[in-house]
Amino acid sequence: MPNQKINILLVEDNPYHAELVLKALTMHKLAENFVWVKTGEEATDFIFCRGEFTDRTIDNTPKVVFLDLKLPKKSGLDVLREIRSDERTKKIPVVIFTTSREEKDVIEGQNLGMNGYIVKPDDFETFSEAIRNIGFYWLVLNQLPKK
Amino acid sequence: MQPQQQDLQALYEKLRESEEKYRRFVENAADIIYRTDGEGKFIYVNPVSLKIFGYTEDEFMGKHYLELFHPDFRNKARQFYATQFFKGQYSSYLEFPAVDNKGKQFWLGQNVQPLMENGQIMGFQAVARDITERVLAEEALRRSDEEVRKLNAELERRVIERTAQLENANKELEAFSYSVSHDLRAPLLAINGFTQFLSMHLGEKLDDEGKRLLGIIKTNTQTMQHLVSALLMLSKTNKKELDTATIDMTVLAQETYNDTASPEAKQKIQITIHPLPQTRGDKMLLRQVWSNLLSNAIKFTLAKDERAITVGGRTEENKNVFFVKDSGAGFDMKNAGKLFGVFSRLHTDEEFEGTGIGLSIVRRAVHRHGGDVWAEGEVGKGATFYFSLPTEIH
Repeated sequence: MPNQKINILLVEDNPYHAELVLKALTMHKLAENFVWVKTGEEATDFIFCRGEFTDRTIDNTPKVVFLDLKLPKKSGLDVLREIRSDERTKKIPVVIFTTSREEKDVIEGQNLGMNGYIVKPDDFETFSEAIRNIGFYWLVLNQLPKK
Repeated sequence: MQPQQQDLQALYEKLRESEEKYRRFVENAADIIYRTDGEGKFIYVNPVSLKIFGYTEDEFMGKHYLELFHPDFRNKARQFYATQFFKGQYSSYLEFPAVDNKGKQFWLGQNVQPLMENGQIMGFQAVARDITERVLAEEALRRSDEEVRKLNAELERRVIERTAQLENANKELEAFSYSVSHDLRAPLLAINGFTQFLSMHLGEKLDDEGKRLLGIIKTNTQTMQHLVSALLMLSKTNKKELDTATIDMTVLAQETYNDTASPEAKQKIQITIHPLPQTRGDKMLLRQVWSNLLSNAIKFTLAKDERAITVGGRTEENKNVFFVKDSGAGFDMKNAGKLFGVFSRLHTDEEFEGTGIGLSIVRRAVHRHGGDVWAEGEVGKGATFYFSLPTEIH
């Protein structure tokens, strides 16, 4: 894909949850420039313009990353670690959006500089509401320096 | 006859009578009585001795006293008597295994006295009694004591082993229920969301029957959600470290009731919360306890015409006892044991909805404080649920 502007990068291996996120964003008119990757490897490839994303440039950073922790092979926390380890990408907001709430994950996420830890609720209304709030905050409310 | 001779005759007579009395006494005694010479060889044995040992009088006269003893005991006996008489003891008592002429073993308890003349030991006199019954009884007692001791040790060992096994199983169950509960939420979210999308997608095309079918899916999904949340709560109740503080139970119970009761419940139910003793405990867990007990009481009371819930408590010796009493459906006391088990329900879904985990959570939470839970009830007449909390929590 070409070097399009990117709002939300969703890193989620469950396609049903991915569809729920997209539907929720669409319902709240926050779905523009939405990209979905299924694995940790694809996520870092996307951020660092490797693999199938060599057409992108690194400075074209997403406004926010929605990161699931339970990913096959490369874990969500590893993705976060890599993003935070590079000068060019370390400022990208990352919100962890995951099913479980293991204390050690919350602590590690904090240590790695995440911007939030949300446990996916099991009913859709609450889920949709959370997506709306977080999406609205990072895409509309929050001010970033003008590049 | 001369007078002197008459006196002598009388004396001989007295002596003979005396001897006769003594002889009869010894020969009719029930005990073994014998006499040996200075070296220990038999010089006299009474009839009982003959009967018990089976030897004839002639056979006895050649023998040494040690021959009456069981061979394994003879050295000990010899040493014993040597010591006794070396010390100059007047009398000694010894219990020993004896053998008869056929080799049969039995036990005797024997008193021996040296017979002295002019300061010299001339021989020995012995009286012995059969103590076999007593000795066997003692041995049997010792054996059963030993067995009891072994059984106790074995039991203790097994308890320790079982406790370790139980703790392991609990930990595994913990990890399992925690991860499974979380993993179950993912598909629940999907079912939930997609049911909603289906409804939106069909829009006008969704007829009454379609709405009903979707409604059923939604209801069942909600049931599963409650179950999973309850399981997670149960798991948390077990895992969480106790955050002990002093708790105003009256306020906590009241607050929890306000949060738990629906407007309908608040309107229809007469609730009385008596002043409750303060207690030490984990506020979050105790809130769960009140929440579950009160919502149970509400649930079962709403269905009845008479709707009253009473909450009370009292301080006993080293604990505080609290109760929630309702005027609801009640239960049969013979089912009391099942009340607090996980997934245990005494009513069907049609009668009363519920997950059956609520009381299990109550029990876990209370047990973690070192307290107890129990209930009393009568079918149709309501139920009272009690829980106790020790005044000292570790």
